[in-house]
Amino acid sequence: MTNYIKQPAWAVLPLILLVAFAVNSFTLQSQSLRLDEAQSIWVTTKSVPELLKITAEDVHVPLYFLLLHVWLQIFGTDVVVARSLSLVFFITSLFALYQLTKQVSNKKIAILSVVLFSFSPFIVWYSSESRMYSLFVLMSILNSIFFLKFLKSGGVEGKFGLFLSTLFGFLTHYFFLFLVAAQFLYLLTTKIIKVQKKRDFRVVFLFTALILMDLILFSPWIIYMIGLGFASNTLPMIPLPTSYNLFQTLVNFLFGFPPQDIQSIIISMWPFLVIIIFLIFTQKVLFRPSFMGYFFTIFFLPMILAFAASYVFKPLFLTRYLIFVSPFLFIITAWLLSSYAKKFTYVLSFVLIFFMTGLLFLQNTSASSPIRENYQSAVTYLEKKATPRDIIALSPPFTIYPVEYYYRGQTKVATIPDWDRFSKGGIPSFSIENLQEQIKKYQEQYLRVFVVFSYDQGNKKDVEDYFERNFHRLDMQTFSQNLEIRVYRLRYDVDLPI
Amino acid sequence: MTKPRLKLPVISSKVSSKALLVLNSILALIYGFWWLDPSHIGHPLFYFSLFFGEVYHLFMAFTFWQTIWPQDYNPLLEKDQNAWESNPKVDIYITVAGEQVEVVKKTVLAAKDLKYDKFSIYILNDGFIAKKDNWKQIENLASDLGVFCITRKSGSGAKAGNINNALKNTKGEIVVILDADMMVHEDFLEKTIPYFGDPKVGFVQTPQYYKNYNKNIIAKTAWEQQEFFFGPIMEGKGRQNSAIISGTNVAIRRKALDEAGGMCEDNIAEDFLTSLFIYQKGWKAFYTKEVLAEGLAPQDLLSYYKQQHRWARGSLEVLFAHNPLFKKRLSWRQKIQYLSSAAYYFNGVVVLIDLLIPIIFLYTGISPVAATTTSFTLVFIPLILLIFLTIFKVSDGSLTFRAIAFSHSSFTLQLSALKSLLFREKTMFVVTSKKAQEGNFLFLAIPHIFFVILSVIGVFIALYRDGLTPSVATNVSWAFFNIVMFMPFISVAYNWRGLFKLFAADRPASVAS
Repeated sequence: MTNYIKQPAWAVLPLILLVAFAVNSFTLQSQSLRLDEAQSIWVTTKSVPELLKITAEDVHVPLYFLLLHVWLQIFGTDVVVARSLSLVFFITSLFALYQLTKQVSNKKIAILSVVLFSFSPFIVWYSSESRMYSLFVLMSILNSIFFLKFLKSGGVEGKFGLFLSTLFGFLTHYFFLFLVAAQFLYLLTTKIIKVQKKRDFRVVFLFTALILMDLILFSPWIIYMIGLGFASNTLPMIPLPTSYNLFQTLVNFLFGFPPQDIQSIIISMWPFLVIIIFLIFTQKVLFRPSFMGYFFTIFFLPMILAFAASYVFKPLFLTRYLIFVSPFLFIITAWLLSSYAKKFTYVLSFVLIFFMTGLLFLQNTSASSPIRENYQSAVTYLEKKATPRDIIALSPPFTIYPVEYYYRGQTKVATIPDWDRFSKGGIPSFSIENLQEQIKKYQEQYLRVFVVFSYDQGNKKDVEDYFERNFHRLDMQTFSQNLEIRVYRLRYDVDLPI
Repeated sequence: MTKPRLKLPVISSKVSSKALLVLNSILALIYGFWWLDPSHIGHPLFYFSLFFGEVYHLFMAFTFWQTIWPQDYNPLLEKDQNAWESNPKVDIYITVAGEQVEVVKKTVLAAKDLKYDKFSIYILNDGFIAKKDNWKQIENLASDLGVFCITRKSGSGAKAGNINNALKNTKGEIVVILDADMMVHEDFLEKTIPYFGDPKVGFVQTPQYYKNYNKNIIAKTAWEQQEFFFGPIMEGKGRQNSAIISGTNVAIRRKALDEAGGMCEDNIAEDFLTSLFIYQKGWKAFYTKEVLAEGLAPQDLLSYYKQQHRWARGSLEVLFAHNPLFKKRLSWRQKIQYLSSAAYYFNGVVVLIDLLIPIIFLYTGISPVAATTTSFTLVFIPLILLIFLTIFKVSDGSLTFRAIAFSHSSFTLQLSALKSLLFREKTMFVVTSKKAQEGNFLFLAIPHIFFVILSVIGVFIALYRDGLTPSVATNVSWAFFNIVMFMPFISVAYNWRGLFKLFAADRPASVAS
């Protein structure tokens, strides 16, 4: 590690790339298909008009799904193939991040930020998931490259790149709006307090005009989405965020998703942050890269805005939605680490990367990892235990996507509440009366019900209580955190299969 | 012929933006309100102990922001406007109480090179009273160099008494006080006397620069602490007509000193209190950041300890016996500035509380706070981040971790000073040694080492009792924080034979041998 800084970038980056590729490939192949991924694959195997319709109903934006659609058309619909598109975005992000960091600091910080980015269990997880997050990160980095180019040239250069990356950003995730808002506030503030040499608002007006054009081009999608109505029951239920969630987000960015108790311990060790602050601001010579204030702004401000919006409008604070700010944390961390004395920098970097790697391993293998969704094992259990005289009931209904992907058994698969995906409208709302009615019908035909519990959409306890009170539980298996199967006996007039 | 000068020493400081200070204050208020929420009270006694500490921290923070609040007033401009042509007679007082003859000789020779028409040099020789062997040699030195020597044979009041004695025997309109090691630059008088063109100006203070700051880690740390004080702090005080006499490198109008009753003899921090009395008599004062004299820093832990102890004892005495808040004829700015300077040394009590709270938790499981750790962190971290950013900006990056760590570790001497004050123990004025003392000073770091041992044992007890819970993790981290803060201090107290490589590079020769 001592001499990496002396090597040219073309010699170091491929090495990082190789390690990152290996780590990602392992994650990509070792994990079961997850609920959201299954939904992505299901949507993208439809025709384009249908894809757009489902995406809009699901309150998503279409860019990633369209790209995945093309990707799957060319390479096939295997889960590894679907995930490898995200890997492509991740690899591109490595180069983009290096470029972004290098243009505002130096090679040392640029390489360190790329290394941290590559080893982040959080980034690795979403870079090997067939969802839009890896593309979202890439768009965010590219957008910042163009934004800084635009800013440095006083609005002369980078306009086209900024315009396009913002448009694609909007088409990748709605949260891109928070990045643009943070950029706007940064621009306005720096102009007002004259951080730039002269108080020239021309660049602010130009930026505003570019964003307005992007919003105009994006607006048809919004109109289309509103016209279709929201399929609200397919959305995950997000609780109101607390201060804990803010810190958890930071921990997740750096250390991924270790078991909940480990996350709490890491958060509780916050006094170490005070030591870091003490050490950083007491450096005799502190390298101050240009635009470090920009990175602080676009890292923290979108998080604060999302947090505030959760209280003002509706809860929408989820760590993965904020993934687009995570590269800036790695730039800030790399800058902090490289600000210390040389030996100290190496020791701290090594310790940090060691922990990140260890927690990545834990995240990928531990059953108590909160992010893992082991549908593959759950389905294997179902295939082994359930017979055609039984019924499988999935709660909530959208669990159907990953189960359907793996399940090849003979048992009928239903959902709680009963949902026909191919009819118009979203998932029917849950009521205990409907559940009673539904199970009563099952009792007439089936011996046992295999209830698959996963996400809590607000009625998990009602469903659990109903079965626990009214039926004899024969078995219970947990496959990953929040994924369990409970088997209940429905009838006593017929003997159970041995 | 003018002697060629090497690069002139510069004291780093910069002006903060008002927006940053307002933001600091808003976050501090939010932080303060967090502590007022009764639902956060865990163990009442410990909660209110911490609460008291935080009130103190916030008070010090607000007074710091008030000190560095940017103002249009520029003392240097004032000097130019009132340039004084009359060339008053100046008496240079070099206070000596047993310092090495060589050190005093250099100081006298530097003073003799002053560019000014009417000045006399007086060695105020207190070696006889201080029972130092070399008092006679100092007299001989004065004779050899052709300067006056006033040797006291009787009297009290230590350094203040020595100066007051000289005041009776001299007649200069302006007196310049220099410690025995403070070699003035030749333009000292040219740069300070013009301020007295304003007849209301009582004194002009200049920085106390340590030219040997690179000698070893203690000298370096002492200077880093001084640089922050003589940089943004004194500049801020100067802008508010609240500068403090630091006991050396100061020019004082005799009339102002007379009206204040001479140098105050009943306090060990005679300079601090004398400047307060001068303000009370309606005089103005200036502080100029330009380094005009260069002296010697303490070079061993014992000398550092004694110097700090003296300052702490004197300041705390001011706090209790001459509280600036209740002094008449002081502006509210002067009251705040003097109060905050005196209260600085009360920090030892607060550090002790902050040390004990995690230890108590580790041993007993008692927690002073009932709130979630993240709700506290959310208001604390942004504030501490902003405070340090502000310090970093106004000090222009000159304040080091070591300097802060030494301040933190000085809680023992601050508590000792408080104890000596409360129990009315007699404290002698001890001149800071101008050379490194021989021996090991591990005894000064025993409380710190004891804390480290106590913490390590406490960690095992807490882990055995509770396991690795979030509360245990937080308190272990705080204990670790304190250990890290003590390391620079412990590392220079003894020859650890390379155990503290990170800090040992500059260890003083006497300790490293």
